[in-house]
Amino acid sequence: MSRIGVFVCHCGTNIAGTVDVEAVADAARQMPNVAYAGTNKYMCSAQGQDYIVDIIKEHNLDRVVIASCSPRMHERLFRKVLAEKTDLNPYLLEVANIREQCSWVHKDKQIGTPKAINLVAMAVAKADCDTQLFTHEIPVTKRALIIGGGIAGIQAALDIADAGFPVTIVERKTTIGGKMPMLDKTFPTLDCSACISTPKMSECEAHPLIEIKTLSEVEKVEGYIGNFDVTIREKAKYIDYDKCTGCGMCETKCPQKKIPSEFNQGMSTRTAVYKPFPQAVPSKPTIDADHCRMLTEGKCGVCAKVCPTGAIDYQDVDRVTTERYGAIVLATGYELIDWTRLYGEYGGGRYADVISGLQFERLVNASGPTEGHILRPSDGTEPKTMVIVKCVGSRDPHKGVPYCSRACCMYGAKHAHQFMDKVPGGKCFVFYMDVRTPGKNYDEFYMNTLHEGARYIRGRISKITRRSDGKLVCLGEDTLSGNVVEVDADMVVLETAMVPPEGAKKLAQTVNTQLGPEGFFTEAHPKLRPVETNTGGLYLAGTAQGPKDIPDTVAQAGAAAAKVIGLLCKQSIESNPMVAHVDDSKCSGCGACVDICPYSAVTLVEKTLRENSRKVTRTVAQVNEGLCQGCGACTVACRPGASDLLGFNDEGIMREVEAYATR
Amino acid sequence: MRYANFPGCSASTTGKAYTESFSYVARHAGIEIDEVPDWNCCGASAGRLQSDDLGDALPARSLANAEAAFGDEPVLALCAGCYSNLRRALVHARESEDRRRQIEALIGQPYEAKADVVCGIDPFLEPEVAQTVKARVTQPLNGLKVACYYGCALVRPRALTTFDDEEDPQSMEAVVKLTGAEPVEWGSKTECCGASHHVSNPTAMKPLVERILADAIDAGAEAIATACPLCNMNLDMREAEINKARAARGEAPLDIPVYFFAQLLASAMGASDAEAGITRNFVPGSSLLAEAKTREVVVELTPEQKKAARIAAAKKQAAARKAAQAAAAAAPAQGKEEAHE
Amino acid sequence: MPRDNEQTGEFTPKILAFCCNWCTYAGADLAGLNRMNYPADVKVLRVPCSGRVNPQYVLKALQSGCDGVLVCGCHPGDCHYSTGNYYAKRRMMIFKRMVEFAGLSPERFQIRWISGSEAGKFRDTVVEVSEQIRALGPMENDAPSRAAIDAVAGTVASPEADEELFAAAKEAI
Repeated sequence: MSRIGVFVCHCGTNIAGTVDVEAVADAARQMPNVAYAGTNKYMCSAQGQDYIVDIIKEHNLDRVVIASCSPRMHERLFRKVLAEKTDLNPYLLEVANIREQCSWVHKDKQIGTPKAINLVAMAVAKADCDTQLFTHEIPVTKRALIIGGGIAGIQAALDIADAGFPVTIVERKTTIGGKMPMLDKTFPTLDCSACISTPKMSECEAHPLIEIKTLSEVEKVEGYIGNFDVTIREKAKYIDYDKCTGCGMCETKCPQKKIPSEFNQGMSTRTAVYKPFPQAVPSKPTIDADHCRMLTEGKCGVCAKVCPTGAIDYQDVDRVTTERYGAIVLATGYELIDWTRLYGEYGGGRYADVISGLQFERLVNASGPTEGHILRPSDGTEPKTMVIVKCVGSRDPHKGVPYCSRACCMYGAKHAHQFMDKVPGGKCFVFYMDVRTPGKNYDEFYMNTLHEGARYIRGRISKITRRSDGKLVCLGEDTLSGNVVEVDADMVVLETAMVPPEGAKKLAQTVNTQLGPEGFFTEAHPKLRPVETNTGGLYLAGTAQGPKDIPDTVAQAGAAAAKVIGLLCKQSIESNPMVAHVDDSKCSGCGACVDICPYSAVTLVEKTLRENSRKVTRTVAQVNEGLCQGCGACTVACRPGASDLLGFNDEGIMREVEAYATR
Repeated sequence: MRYANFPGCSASTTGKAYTESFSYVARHAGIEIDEVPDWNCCGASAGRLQSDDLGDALPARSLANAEAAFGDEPVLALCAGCYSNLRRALVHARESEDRRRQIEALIGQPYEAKADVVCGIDPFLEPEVAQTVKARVTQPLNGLKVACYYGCALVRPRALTTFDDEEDPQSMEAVVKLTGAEPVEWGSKTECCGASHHVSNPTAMKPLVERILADAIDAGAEAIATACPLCNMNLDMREAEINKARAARGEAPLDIPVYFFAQLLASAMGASDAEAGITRNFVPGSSLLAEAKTREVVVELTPEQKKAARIAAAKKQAAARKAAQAAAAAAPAQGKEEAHE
Repeated sequence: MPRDNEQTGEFTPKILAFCCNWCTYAGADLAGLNRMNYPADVKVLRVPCSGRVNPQYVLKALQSGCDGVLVCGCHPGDCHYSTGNYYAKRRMMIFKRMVEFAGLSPERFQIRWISGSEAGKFRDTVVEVSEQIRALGPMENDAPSRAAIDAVAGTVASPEADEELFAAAKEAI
C-alpha cells in the first residue's frame, strides 16, 4: 500500500479564484492510498517547495501528487525538488493540471471544484502505479551542425567554434553569406553591408574549427540530442578544390556568358563556371551543370584546357557522407515572395522598371550591375521620380501572407533615402499601410527620411500601367485624405514579403520538428524558449524562425550558439527514462514492435532466460534506451502485452480511466 | 466539345454580332452548341439587388434546366454579365450543401451543380479547338495590333471567375493570336467602362470610355477586342460622341474600331463581314481588317532558328573553304609531279 | 454516481479525452492561457502520443461509466514521433467500426486532430462533443450495446484483430 501526498496549489487566485482548493484537499483525503493532503499559496515558490519536502519526511510519503498548473510548466521543477531534497525517486510524481485545464477555463467554483477533484483522483490513481525510474548518461558528441550559411549560420558557427567546438556549415548555394552581402547599406547606420559581412565569411573559411560544405543539403537525420547521425549530400562541383587555386582563368574564358546572375538578381549575367561574387567563400568557382556546354552537350571543355592546375573534373559526382553531431542549428533563412506570380496589377513582372527591393539593393550597390548608379533597367536612364510600394505580399492574406515582414518599413525608408541622396532633385513617393519602426535609432532614421523630402502616402497602389512614353502610371489612394492619387513614375520598387525558403517543409520532416502555419520553424516557447525547438538538441537562428532584420538575426544566432555551447560543454546528458520496456517472460519475439518503431530503437535479440527454473534461449525484443523517445507506439502493437511504457504504464492509465469513470 | 448555350437577353439584341460571329467560328471549329431549354433572365440588372435568394434562384433555374437536359455538359454564357451571375449561383451551390438544398427548394427542381459555367473565351483555350481554329485561319490578320479588353465581370471577383488572373488576364490575347494578329500589352484591360451608368449617368461614364480608348491607342493598338456585349456596345457606340467632344476641345480624335474577339476569329477564318456581324459595328471595322489581310508577313525567327541558320551558313562556308583548299593542294602537287617526270 | 446536476436535474455527461502531450494537450493548455470557456464535461488524460492509446483504454472507459471518449493527436504529418498518429488513426478507425458494430452511437467515440496552436479548435471540439453526448443522454440509453461492448472487450486483443490492424498500419506508412 502506497502513501500518497496530495499538494493543492492556490496559485494566488489563479486557481483559488475558481476552485475551492480546501475542498479539493478535503476530498483528496478520502481517496484511496492518500496519506496526506494540503494546500499552499504558491507550490512552486521556495517556501512551497520546502513545505512539500517537510511533509514528505514528516508523513513518510512514497508518492506525490501536485495539483497545480500544467505539467508542461513545472513538472520538471517538482521532479528536481524530489531528486535534490528528498529520498524519493523523482518519477514517483504526478501533476494534476487544475489551472490551464480547469480554473482558467471555468467561471465559478461550482464547476471548477468538482472537476479539480476528478483530475486529482485520476492523478492519485496513476501515482499509485508509478515506479522508480532511473536516467542513464548519454555521451555528447562535441560537434555542431549549422544548416544554412547566411549571416545567422555564420554568426552561430563563429560563436560555437570560438568556444572550442568543431562546426560544420551546410549551405545549399555555392557560397556562404546568404542575402546580406547582396545588400548595399544596412539601416539605420548606413554602414556598407558587404564590408561587415564578407570579413565574417572569410573568418569562417579561415577558422580551424569550421568546415564549410557548399552546394550541400541534409538528406537524413537519425539519432537524438547529443548524437545526431546526419547524412549530407555534397553535390558535384566539377572542380577539385584541392587543386583549384581560385585564379579565375576558367571564368574569364568560359564561352557561356549569358546566364542571368542570381547574385545581381538577374540584372547582369555570369558564366557557367563561376563564383557568384568576388568575395564568395569558398573563394573557388563551381560549374553550373545546367548551363555548362560540356556537361549538357558534351562539347566545349575550354575551362579544362585553360586551368593551370588541372582542377576541372567533368566526371565529378555527388558525395554523400554521414557524420555524428551533438547539436543542430537551423539557419535556413528566407526567400522573397514571387510577386510576379501574384500581382498582375503591378505588371506581373513584364515591366522592366518595376523591380523588387533586393534588385534595388543591387542597383545602388557599387559592386552591382550599374556600379552604384541608379539607372532604369529598361533604358539605362536615371529615374527622376521613384515610387516605393511597401507590404507587397505582406499583411495581404488575400494574395500574399497574413504576417508583417518586419524589415521592410526600415529598408523602404532606406531606399527612399538612398534614391534622394543619389538622384539630386529626385522625387520619391512611398505608399504604405503603416510605418512600423520599433528598434534602436529606427524611428529617428524614418523621420530623417521624411525631412529629406520623401512623400509618404498612406494607401496601396491598386494598379501600375506603362504608358508609351515609358512612364509607369501608379494609381492609388491616399486613405488619409480620401483622394485618388496618380503618380507618373520612372521606376517602382516593391518591398516584398519574406517567406520561408523552398524545402523548409521537407527539412522539418527530415530533422523531425514542426513548422508554424506560415511555414517558418516553430520555437519551443514564443517568449521563454525562442531559439529552441520541441526536439532536443535542435535550435533556431535567424529568419528560419520568422521574419526579422539583421540585428535581431545576429542576436538570435548568438543565443542559439550559447544554447549549443551549453549542451556541448557537458560530458554527458541524462537520458529520458520514460521509455518502452519489454517483459522478456511475456515476449513472443514476433517483432511487431520492431516494425512499428519510428526510431529503430527495438531489435530482436537471442536471450537466455530462466523459465520454470530451466534455462531457455529465446528470441525477444530489446529496446535501446538511448534511441527510444517514449512514444509508446510499440506498446499498443504488442500482442502478448509484453511491451509497456515506463512513466505511462498500462496499469496506471487503466487505473486513471477507472478513477474518472467510476467517480 | 459540346456546350449548353445560355443566350441571355443580349444574344439577339446588343450582342447580336457576338452571337453571329461566335456561331460562325463554332460551326467551323468543331464546337457543338445546344440551347438551354426554357431559359430565363440571369437576374443581372436587378435580381441580386432585390434579394440574395432571387439572385441565386434566377440563374440556378436555367442551370437546372441545362443539367436536366444535358447532364454535366458545360454551360456557355457569351455575355459577361450572364457569365458572372450563372457562376455566382454555381459557386454558392458548390460551396455549401445547405445553400444548394435551399436553392433547390426555391426553384422547385433538382440542381446538383455538376455542370461548369464557362465564358466565350473558354472553349478556345482547349488545345484541340485552338488547333482547329489555327488550321482554319485562311485570311490571317497579319500583325494587326489588338488591345484585348476584358472589363470587369469576366475576371472579377476572383471567388466567382476562375479562368484567368483578375488583374492581368492573358487568355483573350492567346485566342486573338490565333488569327495572326498581335495583341499589345496595355494597362486598362480590366478597367471599368462605366456601362452601368450608360443610361443613368453618362457624364460619369464618358471619361472612363475615353480613357480606355486613349490607353489602347497609346499602347499602339489599331483595334480593340472585347468579350462582353455591354462593354462592346459602350466602347463602340460612344466613340463618335467622345470624338465630337474632343473636336470641340481641339483634341485629336480617338479613332479605333471595336470588335468582339469572335469577329476577328470569324473574319480570319474567311467569314464575310455580314457573317461576322462586322456590318453591325458603329465604328466601321471592315477596311482595317481587309487592309491587315494584305499586309506582308514578317516571320520572326526564334533564337534557336537563328542559331541553326548561322551554324548552317558557317558549315557551308567551311565546306567551301575546305574544297577550295583541297583543290589548291591538288593542283600544285600535280604540277610538281609533272615537273618531276 | 451523480449523473444529474443537483440544481437543474440536467444530465451531465462524463467524457474522457486522451490527448497527446505535444499537440492537443498543448492546445488545451493554450485554451486555458487564452481564458477560453468550455464545459467541464470533458476531462483530459495526458498520453505521450495518440499512438500510445490502446483501444482497451477506450473500452475500459465506456465499460466503467464514461458516456463518451475522445482520442486527440497531432495533425497527420505533424506527429512529434513522426508516425504515431498514423498508427493511431488506422487503429482507431478500425476500432471505431467495431464499437459502432456493437451498437454504440458513433458520437460516443470520436477521433480528432488538434495542434498545439489550435486552442480555439480544442474549445470548439469540447463544446461540440459535449453537446452531442448531452443530446444522446447517458450510456444507459445505448443499453443493449453495453453487453456488446463487454463482448468486444473480450475480442479486441485477439490475434485476428491484431493481424488486420497490423497489416493496415503497415500499409499506412
